[in-house]
Amino acid sequence: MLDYKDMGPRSLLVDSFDDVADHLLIDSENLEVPVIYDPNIPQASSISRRWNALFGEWYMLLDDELEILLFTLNNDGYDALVGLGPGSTPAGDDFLTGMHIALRWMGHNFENVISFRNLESRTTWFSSCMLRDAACGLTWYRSKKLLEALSKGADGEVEDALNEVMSMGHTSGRAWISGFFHAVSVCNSSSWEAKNRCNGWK
Amino acid sequence: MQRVEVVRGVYYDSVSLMRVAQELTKIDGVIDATLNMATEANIKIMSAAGFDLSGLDLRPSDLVIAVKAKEEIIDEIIAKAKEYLSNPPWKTTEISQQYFPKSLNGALSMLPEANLALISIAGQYAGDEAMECLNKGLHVMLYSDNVSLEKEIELKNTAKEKGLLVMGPDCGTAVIKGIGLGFANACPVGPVGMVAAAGTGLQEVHVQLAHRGIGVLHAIGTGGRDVKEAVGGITSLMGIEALLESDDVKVIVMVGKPPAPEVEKKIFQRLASGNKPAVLGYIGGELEGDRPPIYFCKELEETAAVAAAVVNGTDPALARKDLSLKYEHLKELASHFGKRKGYLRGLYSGGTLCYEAQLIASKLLGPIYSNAPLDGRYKLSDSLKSIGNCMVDYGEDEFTQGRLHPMMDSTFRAKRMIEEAKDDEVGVILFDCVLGYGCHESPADQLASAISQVKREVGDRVIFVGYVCGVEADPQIASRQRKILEDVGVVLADSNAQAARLACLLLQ
Amino acid sequence: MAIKDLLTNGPIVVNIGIEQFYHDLKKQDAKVVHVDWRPSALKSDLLSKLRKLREGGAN
Repeated sequence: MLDYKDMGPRSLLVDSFDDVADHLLIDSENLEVPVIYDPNIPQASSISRRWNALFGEWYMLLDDELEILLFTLNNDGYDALVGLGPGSTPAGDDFLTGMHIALRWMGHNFENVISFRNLESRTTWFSSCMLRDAACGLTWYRSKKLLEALSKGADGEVEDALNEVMSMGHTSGRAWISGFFHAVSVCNSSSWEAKNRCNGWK
Repeated sequence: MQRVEVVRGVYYDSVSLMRVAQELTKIDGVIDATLNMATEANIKIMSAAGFDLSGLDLRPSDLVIAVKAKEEIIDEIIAKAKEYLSNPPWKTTEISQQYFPKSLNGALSMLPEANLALISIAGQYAGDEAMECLNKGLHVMLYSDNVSLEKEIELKNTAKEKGLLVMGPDCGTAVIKGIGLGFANACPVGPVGMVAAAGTGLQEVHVQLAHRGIGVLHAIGTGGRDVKEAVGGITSLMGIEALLESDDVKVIVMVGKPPAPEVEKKIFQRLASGNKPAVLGYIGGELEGDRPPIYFCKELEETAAVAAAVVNGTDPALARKDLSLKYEHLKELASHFGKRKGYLRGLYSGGTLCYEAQLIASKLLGPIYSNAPLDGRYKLSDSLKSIGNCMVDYGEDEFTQGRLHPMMDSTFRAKRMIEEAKDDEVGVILFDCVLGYGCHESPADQLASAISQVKREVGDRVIFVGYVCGVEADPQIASRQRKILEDVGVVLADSNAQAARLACLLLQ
Repeated sequence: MAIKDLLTNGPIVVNIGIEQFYHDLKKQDAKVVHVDWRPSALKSDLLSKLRKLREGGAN
C-alpha cells in the first residue's frame, strides 16, 4: 500500500492475522483511520456506448511482457491465469480481478469464471485477498473512481481515472484494465460466441 | 567482434530503438550498436555499416539487434538490449504511468472533438493510417517520410474532396493557432500566416520574424513534394485559401524551393487575385522583381525581413538594403577574427538550412560538395568522407536510419567535427544549432564538448562558425545555448544566411 | 469549412507515433491524446495464432 487511496477493504487486515484472528477484536469505530470511500462495487446504471472502442482494446494491452496472459487465456482458459505472469501481484490475478469487478458492476455473478478452491496455494496471499474481495463485491479506491467516471461518461474523468489505475505498479494497472475491458467487451458484444460466454457468467 | 540477433514478430518505433542503441553505445567496450526493424532499406544500411546479415531470413516485422563490441561482453550487451526494450532506463519509475489508447477509435472515444492526427509512425504504415484518419474526418499532419508519391496523391485528393488538410508527407513542422506541432519554435503569435514546404526553412523564417518582433499565427506545412507537378500543390493551395479567408492573417508568407512552373502559376494567380500582401520565399529561385503586393525573395532571412516590412507598412526595399549592409559588415568581422587557410566544412541538422548555405557558399567559393548537393556532379560518394569545400546534411536518409534525427541528437555530428578538424586542410567548420519543441534538450552542450576537444588538439587553426536557430521562449532558451557555444570560442551569427556568408569570408 | 474550423479552434490532436510530440503539445496546453500504436498486421497475426491454438484443441 503506497497511499491512503490504495488502502483496500478492511477484510485484508483481518486475513493477515490468521493466528490471532479469533482473539482480535477490531473496533473500527474507534480506529483513527478515516473511512474515505465506500468499497462496495456499485451497479452500473448504464454504460455509455462511447467507450466501446476502448473496451475493444483489451487484448492490445496484453503485449510485450503480458503476451503470456493472452496466449494462456486462449489456450487454457481463465483458471490458468491464476498466479501467472510478471509483477509482485501476478498480472494474471490483476486481469481476473479487473474482470470480476466489471462483472459485478454489470450485475453478473461470475461464479463460473474461475474456481476459488485453494486459491491461496495457487497464487500469492495478496492476490488471493484481492480476488476474494472482488468476489465479495468490494474494490479499491482507484478502480471505484473509474467505475464512477465510466457511468457518468465524463470526458477528462475517465482519462484521469485510467491514468490512476495504470499507476498501480509496473504491469498491474494495465493487466487490471485489460481484464475489466475484456469482461465489458464480451458482455457488450453481439457475437453468438460472446453472448454464450457472458451467459455462462450470469 | 560483432553479433546480430533477431527477435521475430515484434514492433518498436524507431525513436525507442534509437534510444536503446544510444544507451548501449555508452557502455565501455561497445564500439557500435544499432537496432532496426528489418525493412529492406534498414537491411541495406546495416550491411553498409559493416554488419553481416547474410543468410538471415528477415521480414519487416522482425527486429534486428546488431552489436560490435569486445568478445567477453557481447552476450551481456545483447541481453541488456532486450532488457532496455522492455524496461527503458530513461523512464524513471517515479513518473506515473498513463493510459494510452492503442487504436484510433480508442483515442477518439477519449477525445471525440479531435480535429487533427499527427502521424509519425514508420512510412510503410503511415499512409494507411493517414487514410483512416481522413475517413474519420480528421486533418492529418504526416511527419513520416518514405510514403510513396502515389499514396501522397491519393491522400491529398481524398482530403480535398472532404475539405481536409494533409500536411506532408515528410512534414516536420507546423503551427496552428500558435501551437507548434512536431519540431517548432515557441515564437509569438501575430498577423502572419505561412505555407511552407520546408521544415527548417519554416523554422528559420519563423524565428527571424520573431527577432523582428513579428508573430506568426499559422504555419501550414505541405511536405517537400507538394509543389511538384505530380501533386500539383494541392495542400499549398488549400493552405493559401484558408489563410486568405482568415481575418486574423494580414500577410501571407510562403517558404520552400521553387515550385514546378504550373504550380507556381496557380499560386501566383490565387494570391494576385486575393486581398492580402504575400511574400514568396522561393529559396534559390530565379524570379526577379517584386509585383507589389506580392514580393519575391531568394533567401530565408530576406523573406523574413521583407515580410516584417510589409507587416509594418515600411518599404521592403529599405529592409533589403539594411540586410545588405549587415552582410557587408560581416567582412569587417571576418578581418577581425582573421582569415583561415583551407576548406570549409558545413555540418547541418536542418536540410533547408544546409541548402541555403550551399546556395550562398557556391556563389562565394565555387562548387560545394554535399550528400545533398545543388549540382549533382558534386555529390559525395561517401557521406562520411568530405571532399574540398563541403556541406553535409545530417537529416538525409543515410544518417537517420538507425539513429535519432540530428535535431534530436547531435552526437554523430559532434564526432564528425572532431574528425574534420584533424584534417589540416580544413580551415572553417560551419554548423547550425536548431532549438524548439521536439529537439534535444541542449544541442549546444552536445556540440560544445566536441568543439573544446578540437581547441585542445589543434588550437586556433580551425575556426567554428555557428548559428542558433531559436528564441528565448524555446525549452532550450536561446541565450543559454548561445552562451555555451560562445564560451568554447564559436563565432555566432544572427541568421543562417549570415553564418554561411561569414564562414566563406573567413576563407577568402 | 473544416480547415476554417481547424484554424479558428486550434489543433485538438490525436498523436500517433513519437511520444515526445505528445508531451510537447501538453507543454503548450493543447488538447491531445497519444496512441501507443502497433501495426495491425502484427495484431491480426497474433489473433490468427490465437485462433489456431483454440481450434487446435485446448486442454
